[in-house]
Amino acid sequence: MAFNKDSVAGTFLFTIVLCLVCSFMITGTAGVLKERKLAKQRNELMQNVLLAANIPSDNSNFKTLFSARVTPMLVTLADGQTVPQEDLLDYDERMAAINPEHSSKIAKDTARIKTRANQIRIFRVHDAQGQLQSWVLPIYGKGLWSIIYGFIGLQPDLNTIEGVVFYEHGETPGIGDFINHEDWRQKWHGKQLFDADGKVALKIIKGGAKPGDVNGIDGVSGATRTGAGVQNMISFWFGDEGFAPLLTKLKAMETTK
Amino acid sequence: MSATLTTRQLLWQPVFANNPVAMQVLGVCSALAVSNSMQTALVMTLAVTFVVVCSNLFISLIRHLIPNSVRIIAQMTIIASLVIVVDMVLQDLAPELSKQLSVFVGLIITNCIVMGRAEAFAMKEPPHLAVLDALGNSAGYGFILLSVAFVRELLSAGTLFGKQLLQTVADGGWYLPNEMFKLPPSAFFLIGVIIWLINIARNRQR
Amino acid sequence: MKKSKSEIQDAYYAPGSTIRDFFRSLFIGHGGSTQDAVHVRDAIDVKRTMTLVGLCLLPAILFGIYNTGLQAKLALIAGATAASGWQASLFTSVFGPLSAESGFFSTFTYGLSFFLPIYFSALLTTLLWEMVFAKVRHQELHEGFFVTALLFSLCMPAHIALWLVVLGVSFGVVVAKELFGGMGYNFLNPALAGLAFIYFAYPSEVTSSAQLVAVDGYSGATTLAQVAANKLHFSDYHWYQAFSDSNWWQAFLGFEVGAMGETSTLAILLGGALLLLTRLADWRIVAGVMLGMIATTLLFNYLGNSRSAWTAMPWTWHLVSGGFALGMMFMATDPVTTAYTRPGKWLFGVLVGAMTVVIRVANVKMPEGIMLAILFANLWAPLMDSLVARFNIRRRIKRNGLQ
Repeated sequence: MAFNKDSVAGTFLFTIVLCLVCSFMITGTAGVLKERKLAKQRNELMQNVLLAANIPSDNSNFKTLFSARVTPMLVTLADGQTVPQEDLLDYDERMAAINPEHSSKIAKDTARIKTRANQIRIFRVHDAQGQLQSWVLPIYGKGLWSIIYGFIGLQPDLNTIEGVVFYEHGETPGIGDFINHEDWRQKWHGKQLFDADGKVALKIIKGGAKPGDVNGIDGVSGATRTGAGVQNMISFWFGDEGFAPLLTKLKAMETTK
Repeated sequence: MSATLTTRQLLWQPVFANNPVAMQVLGVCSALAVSNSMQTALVMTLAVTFVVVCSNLFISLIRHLIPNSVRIIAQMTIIASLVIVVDMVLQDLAPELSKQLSVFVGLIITNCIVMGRAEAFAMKEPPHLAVLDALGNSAGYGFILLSVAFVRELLSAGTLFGKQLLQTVADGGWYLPNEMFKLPPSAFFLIGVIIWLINIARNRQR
Repeated sequence: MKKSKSEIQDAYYAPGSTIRDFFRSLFIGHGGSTQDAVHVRDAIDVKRTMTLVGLCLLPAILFGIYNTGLQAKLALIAGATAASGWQASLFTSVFGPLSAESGFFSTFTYGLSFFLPIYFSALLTTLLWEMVFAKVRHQELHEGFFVTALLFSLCMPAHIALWLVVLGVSFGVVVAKELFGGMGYNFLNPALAGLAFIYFAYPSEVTSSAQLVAVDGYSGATTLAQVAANKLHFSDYHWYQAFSDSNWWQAFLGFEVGAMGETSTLAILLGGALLLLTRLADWRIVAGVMLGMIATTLLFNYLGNSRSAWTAMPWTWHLVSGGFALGMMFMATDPVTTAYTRPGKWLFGVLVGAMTVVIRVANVKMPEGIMLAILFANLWAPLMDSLVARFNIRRRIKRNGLQ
């Protein structure tokens, strides 16, 4: 029997074969590129952590700097306990955050992210002798259009900001993308997260912070809601559902050491 | 159709006389969006060229096997797979550019030039002609994109491929950047001017 | 012997004689009108139309020139340095420097020394383009460019760079008018299209307040800029209070900072009244613009009173600020780019008025709303005409019981 391409069987056969071939093509490419992509992600992660820790690096030395100065740790957010884990650089927080087994719903969702991972990666930054210099913590939350991802570096007092980086966002080009501009990130250095009562007090102030305001960072006019998104994510992540238990734990850990 | 078209016609007609963007007004949306700099325009042209050539080739190769009832779906599947591959490769090779092009690489799927060539040409013609036709059409697309990007980048920033050619006032030079050419609608004017010029040239020939 | 109309026409359209005849006909009118059947036998032609529009603009032009000088003088008194451009140097070398003691004559001349270069560059540019296109297309030259250049110059700030004038008016004439077939075929007002072009292309050059006054290093803010900067407040300010407000009268008479020809609402209204009387401008459009503006303003006043200076701004202030009066009288009424049917004209006017206020209030970055509003309404005009025509057809079919 000759093959009839327009018969029902022929159509089905053709469709199935075509789909198989196409999916092989895509998965093949993805497979070839996967290792490179992972390596790239790792490199980006290292560079971003170094940026947030305010350690200058360039394309040639960031790997050695990172391995010498930074220790990644996996911690449980609810109690601040460290969890042993291999291959921490490839740990995927974003998958964990939407996986119901590894995440929890947020009651007071100021950052508008719905769920957060139970365990996150933090980075202990130290000098060559192992003396603590800063902690780098991941933060993310919704801006105007998109989820903004970033790292924030804290000095050992866990209050003063060492540096900040927002490495991924989809805010309005030319308006909301100021968050990743070098000069704006510099404004965070030395600011304090909490007020005297231990409440989150960091604010993005539209029209510019007053000189001497340790909690205020200049906002950018025209990008009010991107700024508000950043402020909301700070207040969420440093609140009770975010890093609060972890910070108490870290404080205790470093004083006993 | 193939009997009357020479190789040269296949390659050259879509560049000017039957340009897909200017004469058939296809694929204009990406032409507006990514023509703000030469670099993005060039990468976009290469991506589209790859997709059109491969899709035309594959579809032409299996044109006798494609059942008529699922013809469009089959074309879409092939084109979409190719676009995903291009997108992944681009993300790997040039992550910065891929971010600038954002959704427009993915939107090659809906670029009417690709579908149009597959349905109108590759379904009927043998592979070698289909590839030539694809090359001609992507050259036509690239011609429009690059000429628009040339004007837009030069006038809006005084640069070409990021290289400063006209010293802007902000850098202490003399050239005052024209802000309008930063905005996508300015590409409408430029494409309009190109259509105008092509029409004049064609009327002359007649 | 007097030539017949058709002979004149033949001579006029003869290849190669269009431009020469145009200049000849500037001074010698042919005076005839068509004698054949089924033609309107009216002496009003393009030339007469354009001359009349120019005449109607005269009060605004004269006042604008004087006000340019006056604002420069006031700025000098307030401590600005004299302008350093060649226009000012020329003036100084002939009349001596402008100072607080300068009288009416030298103030006027100072303004003239800024207005004329702008007008002449606009005029020569438009004439050049008209000549190029008339030559290529073997068409006659029309007098429309006089008015285009005039309106365009009146919208310019006094201290603007002349190359911007040339660029803007070129864009307006070539892209908005000639590309679509020239005189009578343009769907956008060429002067406004040119203005919009330089507004978007060089925002820092055109909208910056430093350009408005013909002296160096002095920024005079227009009423609209002051509202945008929250310096003027209108909370609990009723529209009729404007009539007892000396600031409003100043703005109405035109003694304020602004683009050269748009400050004096009074002068524009005077010229506009003549334009309406001669029926070159349709009163329906003007009334529509006013109506749309007042209605939208009242709506904003009612909805958002005192929330910001913009929403609270009463319609009397909208009338006297920015280019509203000039746009309403001379640009919205452009006979080519507006709707042709009477209900269409009403609709067109209302759309212009409403959009002006909406753009002013809702888009803080673009305080000059009427320019965009008119361009926007220009695009809608053919649709309005088509709707009106279709509605009429349907009504007549019904009336005659055909359906």
